[in-house]
Amino acid sequence: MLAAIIAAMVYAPTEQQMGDVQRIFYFHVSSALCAAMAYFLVFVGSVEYLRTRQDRWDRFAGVRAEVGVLFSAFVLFSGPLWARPIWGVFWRWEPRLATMLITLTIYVAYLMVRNYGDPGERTQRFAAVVGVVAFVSVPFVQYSIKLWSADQQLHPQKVELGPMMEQTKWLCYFAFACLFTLLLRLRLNQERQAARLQALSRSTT
Amino acid sequence: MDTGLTYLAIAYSGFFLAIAAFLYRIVRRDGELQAAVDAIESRAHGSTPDEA
Repeated sequence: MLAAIIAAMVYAPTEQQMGDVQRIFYFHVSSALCAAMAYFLVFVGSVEYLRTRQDRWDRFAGVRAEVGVLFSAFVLFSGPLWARPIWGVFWRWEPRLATMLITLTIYVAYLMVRNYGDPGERTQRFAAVVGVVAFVSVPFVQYSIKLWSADQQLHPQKVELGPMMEQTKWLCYFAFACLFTLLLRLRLNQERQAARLQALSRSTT
Repeated sequence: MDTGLTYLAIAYSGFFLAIAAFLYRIVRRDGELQAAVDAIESRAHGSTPDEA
C-alpha cells in the first residue's frame, strides 16, 4: 500500500490538463473495482445461501457487503473532490454518478436488513434475496456511460494513460486487491468467532 | 497551496481515515468477543463446584 501511495504521489507524472488532482484517479478507480468485486461476491454468497441454507454463505455475503460499501463510499467521496476543480461543481446528476449512488444506497439498505432484522433464518433469507436483487444495479453502474450518449455526460469515458501512469494504475490495483483481501479475512474470521461463541453460549446455558 | 493538491490531500486523507475507522471497528468488536469469552469461562468455572 505504501508503494502504491508513493507511486500515485511521486512516481506517476502530473497530468498536463488536470494537474495534481488527477492523482485521485488511482485510488478512485481501484476502489470502484474492489466495490464491484465485493458486490459480485455478495451475489454469489446470497445465491449459495438460498441454495444450501448454510450460515457460512450468509456470513460470506454480509462481510463482503460491508467492505463493498466502504469502497463505494470512498468512490463517491473522491469523485466529487476530483470533479470540483475539473467540472467546477462537486456533483452532477449524470448516469455514472447517479447509478453509483443508487447502488450504494441499496447495499446500505441490505446491511440495515441484516443488522436490524431479527436474528434468524428468516432475516438471513430475506437479506439473501436482497443481495441477489441488488446486484442488478452493478452492471448499470459499469455500462451507464455507454447507455447514454457522450454529450449528455462529463464523466470520462476512456482515459488514455502514459506508461508510468499505467504502471502506477496496476500497482494500485494490486495494492487494493491485497487490502480488500485483508479486510475480508479479518472480518470473516471475526464473524466465524462470533458464530462459534454464540453456539458455545447456547450450549452452556 | 494549489486547489488540486488540496482536494487530493482531502481525498487521500479521507481514504485512510475510512480504513482506520473500519479497522478500529474490527478491533472494538474483537474486544467485545473476548469479553464474551471471558464471561462464558467465568460462568463455567463458577458452575463447576455446584455440579461437583
